[in-house]
Amino acid sequence: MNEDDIYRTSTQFRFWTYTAKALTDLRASSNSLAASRVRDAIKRSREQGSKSETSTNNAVPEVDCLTVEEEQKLVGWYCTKAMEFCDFSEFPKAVKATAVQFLKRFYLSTSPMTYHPKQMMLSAIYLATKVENFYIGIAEFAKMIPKTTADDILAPEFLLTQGLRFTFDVRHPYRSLEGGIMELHEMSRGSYIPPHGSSFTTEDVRVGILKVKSHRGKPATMTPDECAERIKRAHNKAGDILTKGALLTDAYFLYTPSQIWMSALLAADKPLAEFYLHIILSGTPNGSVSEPSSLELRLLSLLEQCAGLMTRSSSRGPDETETMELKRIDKKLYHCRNPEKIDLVGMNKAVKEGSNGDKVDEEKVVKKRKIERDRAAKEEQDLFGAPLKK
Amino acid sequence: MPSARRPNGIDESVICPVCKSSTYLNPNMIFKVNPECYHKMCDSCVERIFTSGPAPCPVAGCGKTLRKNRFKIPRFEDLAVERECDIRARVAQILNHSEADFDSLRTYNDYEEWKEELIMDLVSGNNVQEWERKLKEHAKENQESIKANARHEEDLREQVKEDERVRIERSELSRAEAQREFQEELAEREAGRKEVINKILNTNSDVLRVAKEAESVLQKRAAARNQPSTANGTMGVTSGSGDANITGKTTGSVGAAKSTGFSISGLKKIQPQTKEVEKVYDAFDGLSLQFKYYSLAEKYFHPRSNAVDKEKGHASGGYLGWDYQRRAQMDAHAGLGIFVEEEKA
Repeated sequence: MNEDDIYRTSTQFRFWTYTAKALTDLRASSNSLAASRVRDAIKRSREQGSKSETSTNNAVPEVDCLTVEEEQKLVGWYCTKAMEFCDFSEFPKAVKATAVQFLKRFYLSTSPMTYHPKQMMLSAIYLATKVENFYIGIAEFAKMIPKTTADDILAPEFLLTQGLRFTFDVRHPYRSLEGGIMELHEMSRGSYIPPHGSSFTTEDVRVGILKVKSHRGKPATMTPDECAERIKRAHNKAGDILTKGALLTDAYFLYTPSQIWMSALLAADKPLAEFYLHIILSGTPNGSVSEPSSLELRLLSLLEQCAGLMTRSSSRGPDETETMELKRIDKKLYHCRNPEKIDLVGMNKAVKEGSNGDKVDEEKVVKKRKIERDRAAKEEQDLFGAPLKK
Repeated sequence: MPSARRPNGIDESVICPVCKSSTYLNPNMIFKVNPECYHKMCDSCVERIFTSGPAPCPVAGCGKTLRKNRFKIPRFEDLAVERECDIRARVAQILNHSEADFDSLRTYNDYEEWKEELIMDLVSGNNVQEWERKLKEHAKENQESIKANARHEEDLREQVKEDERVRIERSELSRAEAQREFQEELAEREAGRKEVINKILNTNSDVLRVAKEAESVLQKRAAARNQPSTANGTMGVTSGSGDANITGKTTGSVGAAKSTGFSISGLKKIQPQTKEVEKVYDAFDGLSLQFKYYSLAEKYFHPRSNAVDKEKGHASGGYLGWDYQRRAQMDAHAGLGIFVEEEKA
């Protein structure tokens, strides 16, 4: 059993990691399912309306549903909104990241046409505060948001947990990044212990890291202090990528946390990341001292892909055309929402009252039994006993 | 004697078909049969005809050659039943597998059913010759295993006997021990009483005080007797010290009997289990964690988590900066070698 096997046991790997193709397929299928349900629901509501009015207006236009891309844009927009809210309320970054991932995971299997992201967003943030051990009472939490009651936040919560398949553990690459930076510092300070089976010695690594080429490919010889400074710079830059780009892309679905943080390091300081990767893979079967092993090459190309994915999105800012586009999508969504799923608070209440109704019936039965029992007891005390049963 | 039994009360007499002598005249007459043909005849006829060697059956129309030593007193009145029992015994001698020889109950049951069919065929006379031939062949081919099975069965029977013997021995031992204890206690009591009387006679001290002292001595002794038995931990009873002692002592002999094996049918299965128990218990059942990408250092340069150790607020909760560093190392490397596109395809 090694580190990889441990990660394989996590719910993030078992339920929330997909190949790129599986991911697009899943989104397409949940979109088409939601679209057909929306059409049915709208048809039903129209039929009800037409019955009361007795007007036979059959020529209703077909509902124009959102496409997968439009859905993605909308969810992405609400993810940024959620991040802004978390930043504004000064929540820890783990809460922010978990909330965003909850939203992204939830909308893998559902569509904004069924449940509007605006409703789910607050619930996701609230759930994330609980999951990440930063609990705020619901009353206090509701007070932070204007025009929102506690019910608005709690009503979609069960739906959300259902959509998350009741798996709340999100493995972020933040602690991983800290771990990697710790190791880099150990390397530069000459106290790094190479992995089991490695042919490098502590001294080899110390000398090696001081000679890592500069960012522009120039050969360099650094003093330990300069090296520490360089690691710190790479740390900050990688941290930035992880808190922005990594969250809004599909990186969490496609890669493992350790790959994500290493890609961020690769984007921040490529020679340093390559050196680090070479050292930590030196304990694996084909990891030799000079030549990169096949595993290392494969991993490098994977990390490049991941880094490309994350940096592309982080450079993208909310520009004019994009906001226009989002407004258009929002308007379109107004017409193609599932009318049966708009009133989440009402739905939640109905579920709860349904259980109450049963309780009332039960109470009645209990009462009836008690009266019968009392009567029987009274008759028993009669001089000649209870009347004979016929 | 089964042979002296009469079918319908005392009045009716049975006549030997050979010599026509009747039980009416000779109530102690014994009838015998030979498993070759199951023709009944009286003991004196058997003696008379077959003492000089093998001879044909005297019953009219039979004529099978019989030997004296095969004659026996039938166990059942109904000779058909007698015959079936004989066949069963003969088959069971050859096909003598026990359930433990089979890999599953199902196969054992199938075997038993097949055996039953064979027996019924032999009894009712279907295919007798072929079955006999096959049985003979089987017996010849599997001589060794049949012998081994028979030996095993014999062993089992021996063990039952041994078990019974041990049980009786144990109970006798416990009885003797209890008796001894009782006698000792009586003697002690008697001695104590004598001592008290002597004390009272020899010294002129207070009678009541002396009696009290003697009482306390007795109590102490009783307590001392009880202690070793409870220390054995066999049971928490202190009143019947004799009992507790016996159980403690005899566990050894029971254990010895166990090592030779009890006669329980599950014996074969139990023995390998006891061997397994002797292994050292492994909480992780053979799982061991081996880091592929890193080795843990004793301490890392990480100002934030190292600062935590100096804060009493964190330390009082049992939180250590080292815990964070260890976790961070695991997180940094866990899943690095997982290629999702390949593993999830």
